[in-house]
Amino acid sequence: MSKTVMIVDDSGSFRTVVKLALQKAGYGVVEAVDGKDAVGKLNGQKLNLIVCDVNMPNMDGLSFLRHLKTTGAYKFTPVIMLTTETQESKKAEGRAAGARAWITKPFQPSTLVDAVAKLCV
Amino acid sequence: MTALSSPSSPAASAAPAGVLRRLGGLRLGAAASVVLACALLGWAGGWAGMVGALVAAILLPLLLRTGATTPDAADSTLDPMLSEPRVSGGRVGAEVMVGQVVPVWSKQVEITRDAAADGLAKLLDTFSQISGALGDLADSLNRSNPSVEVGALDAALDEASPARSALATLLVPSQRAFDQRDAAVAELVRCSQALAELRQLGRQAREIGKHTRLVAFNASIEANRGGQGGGSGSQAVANETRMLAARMGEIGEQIERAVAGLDRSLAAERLRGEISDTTPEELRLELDVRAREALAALLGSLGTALRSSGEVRSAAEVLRNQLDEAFVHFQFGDRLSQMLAIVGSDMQNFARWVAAHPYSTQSDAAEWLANLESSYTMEEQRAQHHGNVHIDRGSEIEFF
Repeated sequence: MSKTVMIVDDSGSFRTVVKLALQKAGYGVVEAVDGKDAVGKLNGQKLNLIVCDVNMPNMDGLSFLRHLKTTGAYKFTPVIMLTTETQESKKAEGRAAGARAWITKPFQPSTLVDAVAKLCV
Repeated sequence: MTALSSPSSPAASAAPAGVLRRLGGLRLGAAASVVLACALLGWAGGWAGMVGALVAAILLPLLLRTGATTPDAADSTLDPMLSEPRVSGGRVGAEVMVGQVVPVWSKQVEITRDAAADGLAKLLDTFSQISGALGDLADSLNRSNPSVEVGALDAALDEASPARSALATLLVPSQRAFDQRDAAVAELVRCSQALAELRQLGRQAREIGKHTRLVAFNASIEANRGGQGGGSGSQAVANETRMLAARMGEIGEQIERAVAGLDRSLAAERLRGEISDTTPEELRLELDVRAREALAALLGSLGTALRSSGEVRSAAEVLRNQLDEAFVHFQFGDRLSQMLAIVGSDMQNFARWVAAHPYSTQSDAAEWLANLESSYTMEEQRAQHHGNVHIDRGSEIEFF
C-alpha cells in the first residue's frame, strides 16, 4: 500500500508540481488550498507526511502546524515546510512549531522527493 | 503571501489643511522668515508669542521636508499629462490622481496575474501529461527489456529452454512421415520377396513344361511302337500332352518376364527409399542447425529493435530531466503571479492611504518602505528593495 502525503499550498501550480513529483515516486497525494482547508480534510485519515506552504490565506502554514501538533492523531506526522520564505526568524518559528525540514521555493522536484523519502513514516 | 497594510498616520496628517499648500512653494528662506517672526512674537512676550514659537517649531521640519518634495520638484519626473493643476473640486491633485489611476493599474495587474495564472495552469497541465506519458513509455521500455547478449542463441536452444520443446514438436510430423516412408520400404521389400518366389514358380513352370514335353515325346514313341489298336489313342494323348507342355513353358516364360519387370521397378523404388533414409538423430541435428539460423536472424532483428528502444529510453530520460527543470521554471512563473497579486494589493492600500492622508512626508515614505520590506517573503524582493541584483540562495533544503 502506497504512503499518503498531504500538500497544503494556496498555489495550484505548486500543488500540481509537488503532486506530480510525489505521484511519480509512488506516493498517494491529498491536496488542500490552505491551513483551514487542510484541517477540514484531516478527518482521521492516515497521512504519512505533510508538505505545507507558510504564507497562505485563511490559516497560514505555521498556524496549521501548531494546530496539527495539538491533534493527537497527527502529533507525530512529519511536516516539511515548502515556502518562498527565507527569513531565519521564520525558519526558527517553523522549527519551534515542530517542522522537520524547510525547503525554499523554487525547488528541484528530486530534492523534495528525497526529503519525503527520508522523513516519511 | 501577504500584502502590505497601511502604515500609521504620520504627524503631517494632523497639520491644518491648506497650510502646507500655501507654504508649499517656500524654501529655506521662507521658513527662516517664519521662525524669525515667531521668535519676535515670543520675544514680544505673552502667551501668543509662546504659542507662535511652538507652532513654528512644529512646522519647520515639515516645511523643510515638504520643500524637498514640492510639486515643482516632482513635476520634473512626471508625465506631462500629470503636470496639470493639482487642485480639482476642492480636493488635492495627488489624491485625485492616485484615486483614479491606481485602480486602473491595479485592475491591469489583476488581469495580467489572472491571465498568467491561467496560462501557467494550462501549460503545467500539458507538461504534466507529457511527463506522465514519458514516464509510462520509460517504464514500458524498462519492463520489455529482453537480452540479446552473447550466448543468447545457445540459451534459447538449451535442452531446458521452452524453445527446445517447441522445436521438438516441429519434429513430430516429420517423424510421422519418416515412419510411413519406412513402412512403405518394408512393404516393397516384402513385395520383392514375393516376386522372387513368383520368379521361382515361373521357372518351375518352365521346367515342368520341358519335362512334360519330354513325357509327351516318349508317349508319342510308345504310341508309334504300339501300332494299331490303342496306338491312335495314345498318339492323341501324346499330342495333347505336348501342347500342354508348350503352353506351360510359355506361361513360365511370361511369369519370369513379368516378375523381372516388376523387380526392376521395385528395386529402383527401394533404392530411392534407402538413399533418403535419414535417421531421427540426423533429422534432429538438421532441425537444430536450421533453428539456429532462423533464431540468429530473429535475434539480429531484435537486437536492432532493442538498440532503437534503448535510444528512445535514453531520450525519454533526458526529456524527463528537462521536464523537471521546466517544473522549476514554472515555479518562477507562479511566484511572478504571487508578486503581482501583492503589488496589486499594495497599490490599493496605497491609494486608500493617500486618500486618507493627502500630505505625505519623508518619514511616511520611510515608514511605508519599512512596512513593505517587512512584508516580503522572498529573498528576491528584499534584494531588489535594496537595489541588489545578486542573490545567494545557498541550500534549498534544511533539515531540523
